[in-house]
Amino acid sequence: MLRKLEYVIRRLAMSVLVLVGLSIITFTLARVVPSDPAALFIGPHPNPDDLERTREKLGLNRPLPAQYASYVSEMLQGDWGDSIATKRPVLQEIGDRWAASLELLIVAMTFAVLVGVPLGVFSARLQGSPFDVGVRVASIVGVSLPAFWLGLLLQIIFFRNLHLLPLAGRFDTDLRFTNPIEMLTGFHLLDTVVTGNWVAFKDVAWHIVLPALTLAAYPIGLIARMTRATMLEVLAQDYIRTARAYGTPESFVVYAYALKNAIGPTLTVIGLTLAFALTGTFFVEIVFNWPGLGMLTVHSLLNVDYPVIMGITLFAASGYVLINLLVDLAQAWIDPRISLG
Amino acid sequence: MKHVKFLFLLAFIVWLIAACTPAPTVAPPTSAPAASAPTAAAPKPTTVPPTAVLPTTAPTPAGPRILKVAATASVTNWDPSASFSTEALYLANLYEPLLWVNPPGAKEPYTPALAEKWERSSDALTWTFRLRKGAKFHDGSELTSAAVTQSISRTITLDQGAAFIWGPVAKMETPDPQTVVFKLKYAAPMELIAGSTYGAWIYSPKAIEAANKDPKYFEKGLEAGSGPYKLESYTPGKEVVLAKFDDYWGGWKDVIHYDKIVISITPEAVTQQQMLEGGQVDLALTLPLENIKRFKDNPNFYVSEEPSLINFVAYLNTKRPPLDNKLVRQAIAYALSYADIATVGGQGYATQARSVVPKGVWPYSDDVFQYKQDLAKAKDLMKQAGLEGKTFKLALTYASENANEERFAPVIKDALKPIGFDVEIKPMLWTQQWKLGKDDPTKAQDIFVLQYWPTYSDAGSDNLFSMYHSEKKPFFNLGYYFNPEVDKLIDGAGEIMVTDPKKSQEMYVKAMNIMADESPVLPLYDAKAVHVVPKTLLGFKYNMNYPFSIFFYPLNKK
Amino acid sequence: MQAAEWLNRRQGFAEPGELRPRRQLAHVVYVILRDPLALFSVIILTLFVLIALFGPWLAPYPEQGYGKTNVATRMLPMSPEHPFGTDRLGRDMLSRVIIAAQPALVVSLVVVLIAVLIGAPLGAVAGYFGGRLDDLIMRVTDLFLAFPSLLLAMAIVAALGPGLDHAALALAISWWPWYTRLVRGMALGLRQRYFVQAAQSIGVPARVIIARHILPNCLSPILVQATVDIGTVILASSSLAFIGLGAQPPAPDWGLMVSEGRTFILDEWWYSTFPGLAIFISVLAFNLLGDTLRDIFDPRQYR
Repeated sequence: MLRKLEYVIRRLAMSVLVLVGLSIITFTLARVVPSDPAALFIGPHPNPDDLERTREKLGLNRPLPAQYASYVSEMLQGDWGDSIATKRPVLQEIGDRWAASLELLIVAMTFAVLVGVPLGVFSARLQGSPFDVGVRVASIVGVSLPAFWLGLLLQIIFFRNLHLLPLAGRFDTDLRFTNPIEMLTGFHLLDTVVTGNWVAFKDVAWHIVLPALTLAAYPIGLIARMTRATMLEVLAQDYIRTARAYGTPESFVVYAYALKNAIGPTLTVIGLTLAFALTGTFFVEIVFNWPGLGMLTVHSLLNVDYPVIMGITLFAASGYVLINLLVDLAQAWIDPRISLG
Repeated sequence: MKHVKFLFLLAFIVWLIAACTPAPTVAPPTSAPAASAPTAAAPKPTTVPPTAVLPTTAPTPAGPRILKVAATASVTNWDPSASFSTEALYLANLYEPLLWVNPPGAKEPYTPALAEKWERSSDALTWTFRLRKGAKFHDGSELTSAAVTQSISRTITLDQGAAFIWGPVAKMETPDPQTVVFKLKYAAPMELIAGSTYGAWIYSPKAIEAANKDPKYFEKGLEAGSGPYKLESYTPGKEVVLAKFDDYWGGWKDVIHYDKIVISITPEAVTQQQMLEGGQVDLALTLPLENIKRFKDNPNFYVSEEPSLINFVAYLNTKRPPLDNKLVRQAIAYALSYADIATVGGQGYATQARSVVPKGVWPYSDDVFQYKQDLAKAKDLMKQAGLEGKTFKLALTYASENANEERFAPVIKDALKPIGFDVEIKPMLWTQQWKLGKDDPTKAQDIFVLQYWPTYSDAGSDNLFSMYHSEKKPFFNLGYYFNPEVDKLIDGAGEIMVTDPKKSQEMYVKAMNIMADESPVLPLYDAKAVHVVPKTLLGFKYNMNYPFSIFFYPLNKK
Repeated sequence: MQAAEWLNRRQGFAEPGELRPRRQLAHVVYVILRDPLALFSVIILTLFVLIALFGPWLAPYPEQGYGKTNVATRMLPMSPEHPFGTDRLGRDMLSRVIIAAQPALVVSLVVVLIAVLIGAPLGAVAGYFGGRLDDLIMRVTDLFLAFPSLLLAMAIVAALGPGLDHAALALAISWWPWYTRLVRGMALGLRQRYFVQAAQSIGVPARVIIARHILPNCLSPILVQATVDIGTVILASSSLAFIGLGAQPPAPDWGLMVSEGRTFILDEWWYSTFPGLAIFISVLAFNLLGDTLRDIFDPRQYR
């Protein structure tokens, strides 16, 4: 137990270190790389006073370490700068949108786990069979598909040709007037269920299908592949052989013994895939006009809205670090052997 | 049962996020008590607790009439004195100027707005505006001459955006609450200035006072105009909701107007098209030009084509060889395939420009020389310049945000190849393109492609002055060509524009013909304003003098 | 980073030097010939390289492929003259797709090469010397790996300004740490081996040992990783182009073409379909080949 605690502390300390490093990288990109950071921060119509004020505010005349120190302290105090396009605080811009991105990410990942894990397990079980080969191909196809292109293909098929699913957006604009969604959490699926707004729920669910499918392609491939490998590794171990030798039914061996022991590593894979899929949401959002961080990023890129771009980078990277941390902690909790690592 | 723990982990993440509720839609707390009332009083479905943020009006026949619009226009500045960008779409419905400038071809050149009538002295140095009686601002205060002068004074003092339009004004006087007198330093077209799409909004003195105390007053999404609509809510980057102003002087009786306008800010034209086709909006203001044809065949829509203030030009860098040679510039002017550029750039909604002044805008004239593609002549000019058979590299810049320029830039490249130019196309973000253009001309681009429109519909003092007049430092004369005679003509024509328009135009035409010969700027095409309008929507009228605005007040449903 | 470590180990490799080089090659060829998927990927990649090399000769309208416009033939649907249709400037899409193969391949080769050139020596140094130097290098590496690669690349391009050159640079910057980590793991094992110890004992300088013994022995895993990465970088650079950060118009680029075609998906659906297909197939082929090679070199991955 003590070792476990020690591990958790060590792991937390490491995450803090990584966050420090992260801030150094974003600081470098925001304040050191551009030739005139103040001009970037103030946007296309600067007047000299504003420019000077911004230089003052960013402390561009001071030495770099001092600039970095004030950068970090501002960030910690929640001052991530103001958006050039909307003049609102960057954190507020991010706050308005991250729920949309995360809802999409969670739905896609749930789908990917529900499909990917069984595929991996059966594939290991039926190692070498045509099914196994099929899963191998499918998973490689999944990780090779450009998300932005897959999204367009699905739009062409399901909207243009089959008229089955909505083209884009998070919900129909008409909902605003007929069955408005109450904003409790910002997660529309959750909000509509909690408030019993079934009409809106159906509409929201209908809208999330295509983007979630698009986003899930990559995680499904990775999860299926990794689950398969994990299962094979576990199946090759001595106690499984022993169980087999004792004549334990194969399905029992696979689903009770092996699967149980494969859960820990699989969880790790899922967590990591989640982190990988984070960037995927950006592209899916653009294709499906999904009002999340990805849309915000692209519009900010078009407007050269520098504070927002840097804010999103820091935010998403922190999220990535957090997911990694949570996965490791969960892993340590589930699998006692890890804590020795 | 370890997977249960994973689900718990997921649930934990969900909870973490749920704990931080996103910021609600900003509802501007206007001082008028009526502002927040409609939302609160609206009938709500029983399932929605009263904390609901979104308007909750059921679409019953008796309910408010709502117009759903998709527009690219984001709000960069809510301050009516400083605004100089896309938010003109909203401001033109929230605020009013003294008068509106009508599009060419209208019966009257102007429509009275806050001023009922006006007159000028014969030397055009004194302009007297009589204000409308009974006009009210959204905060309930009455329109007075003090409100007018204070609004304009604030615009001038702030000196942002389009404040320069008031440059001719020496002083303003308010002999009585209904009268404003402008004394000018020199004769200027006050009608055009007072009806400018930027910098000419009149607003409540209370708001002026508040804004002077709190520089962020307007940024919060507050307004106090006199226009037919009030700002009901603004969600940055997402949505603007306008609600009708009950006390609007124009009244709400003539036609069945819309009670509410919900504008979804949708930067991408493709997405707007998708929303329009999916029935999510009634009107989409910016559709991909390439796809307008889809709607031409659709019986539910008609396509409104109107002339616009917008045109596209290409500056040739006269400070760098070989374009410092007039013959070479003329060769380029003859080599360009204007028809193709207009076809590709404007997708059929464009015509070759005659000059840097768009057709229909003062001081446009058919007497200005227009180049036609003539490859033999172009080659001949290159020969005269002694450059026949040689190859030169030219760098062409355009604003990468501009889809039209992106389309036609390769057409320019191809057209210049036969006369020995190898054009390298460099898309740059507008700010960077302009920065390069304003820096050292000898190190700048060779060809600068620009989409241009005058701030108000006087292309003489705007387009011609900006592009042709000499400048201490390059600003919009990005061909870097100066000519004392042209300077004199433009200056002189501007001075007598109001008092002797005929002579003024003659001088402008002379200047334009000199510049057509020198060719530091090549006019490419005049763009048309194209809108796809549902046939059930009546009253849609685009006014080229307000290029970024659509007026919602006249709209009504069949 | 425990979890990332695990994933890396999962994708990792057994101790090097278990197969002699010549037998190794023969073995690789044997496995590929036997595996229809691998064979398929090799055929596709051969075609890809041929198209990249001889694009101008293969394209039906090479000039249009490079960008020559033809206003009269805009937006034509698929036909025998234009199997993939034409684009909004009247250019033959098939030619555009073919001509774009070369920049796609070159950019990803350059990016991966830079990543290997930075990453591999750093990893070898870290693994060989160990201690403080190792700690320092690996902390920096971990830091870069704490960013999703594409996100880091996007941020860098945003700081530098859009363009293919900046995109390539940004991708290289975000890719090298993977090689550092890979090679360091190998070097840790290699320095214990007798031939390295023998070299040390007779006083061969460290840089020579690293150059002669450590790096050459890491070659196969680097190659395997690079194979997959070339595909991944093609995907990443076209993604950057799709959002306007990578190649700029009018350059022929698959991601850019898909992005252009977005406007037309309701009518001219083929516009973005074919360039996207080109990205997909080339990435798929690299991934399939990488997968096969990994199976060959990593006996722990049970087939």
